[in-house]
Amino acid sequence: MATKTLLTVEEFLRLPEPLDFAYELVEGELITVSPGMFRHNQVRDRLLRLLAAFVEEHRLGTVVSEQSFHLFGNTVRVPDVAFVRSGRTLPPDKLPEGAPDLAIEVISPTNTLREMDRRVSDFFGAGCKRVWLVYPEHREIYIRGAAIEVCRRGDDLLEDPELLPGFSVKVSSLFGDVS
Amino acid sequence: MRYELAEGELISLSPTMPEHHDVRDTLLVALRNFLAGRGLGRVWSEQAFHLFGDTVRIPDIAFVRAGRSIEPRQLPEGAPDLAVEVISPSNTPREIDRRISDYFAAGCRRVWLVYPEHREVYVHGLAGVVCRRGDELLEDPELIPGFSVKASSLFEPA
Repeated sequence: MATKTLLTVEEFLRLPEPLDFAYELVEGELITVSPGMFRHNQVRDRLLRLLAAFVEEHRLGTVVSEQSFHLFGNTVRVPDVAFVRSGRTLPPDKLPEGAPDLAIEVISPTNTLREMDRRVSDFFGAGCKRVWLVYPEHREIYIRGAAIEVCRRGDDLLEDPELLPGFSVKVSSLFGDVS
Repeated sequence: MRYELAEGELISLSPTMPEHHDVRDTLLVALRNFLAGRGLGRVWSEQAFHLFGDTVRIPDIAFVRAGRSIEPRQLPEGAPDLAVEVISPSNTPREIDRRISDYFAAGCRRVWLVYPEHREVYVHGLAGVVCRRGDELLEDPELIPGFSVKASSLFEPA
């Protein structure tokens, strides 16, 4: 019976950087994150562009995509898109410590329920305030971590008055023309 | 065959397997035994709730705080305060996200997702999600003060 090899964050950081997939570290266990398919990437990139433009214009902080975060202990996660509020300095050449303020995950058909629950709970455990779960196939976004209605679709507005004051986009516009 | 209604769409619930029932019933019994005679509220299994509009959901376990009037022979209106869903391998992320969102939209405060395969419980509240496993305690001092069981106890063989 094979035993799991557990890595420390230091050992994780010394792994050669893979070309076409990403690694995460979950309580010491190495996890491969497959590259998303076209639809996943299209929606992710659209969100990245919209958020980055808004956040930069209003100097609210930083938006990055596929950035690793050292959440805690031996857990490193790579959200599809992450927003870090201004006031927090991200070291330019080291793994950021802690969670982003907002983590966005675009769900692929291969993602399992428990995998996503674990990932979301890791983000919140590390101080993340909000997680957006985006389902391109159903054109819906589920918001976790806010005491408001949690599903956004169609003409509903995607907003976050607390983290992103003034940001407002119709959910349908994120998925328009998505194959 | 049991059905739910999601914004007017009929959804049939797949038959559940013995493991699902074992875990659900272990938690149900623990809750019932704790709540008996305490006046904190009531708990049911497989009780349908008319959440809102054309949406009716059937949580595996539902807890309703004392003080809410529940008619003995009518479909309860609104959501339970705590809903528990024991996850089967066939449940998809979006299906469960939609269910959680329906519960919260109807006033539910907490949803517990129980994974027998991984022996974990994910507690979904309005502020976020936490995981409980092994010796970690499943508690809710706000909704069910005093109730406390180890997460692992849900998965012990009957």
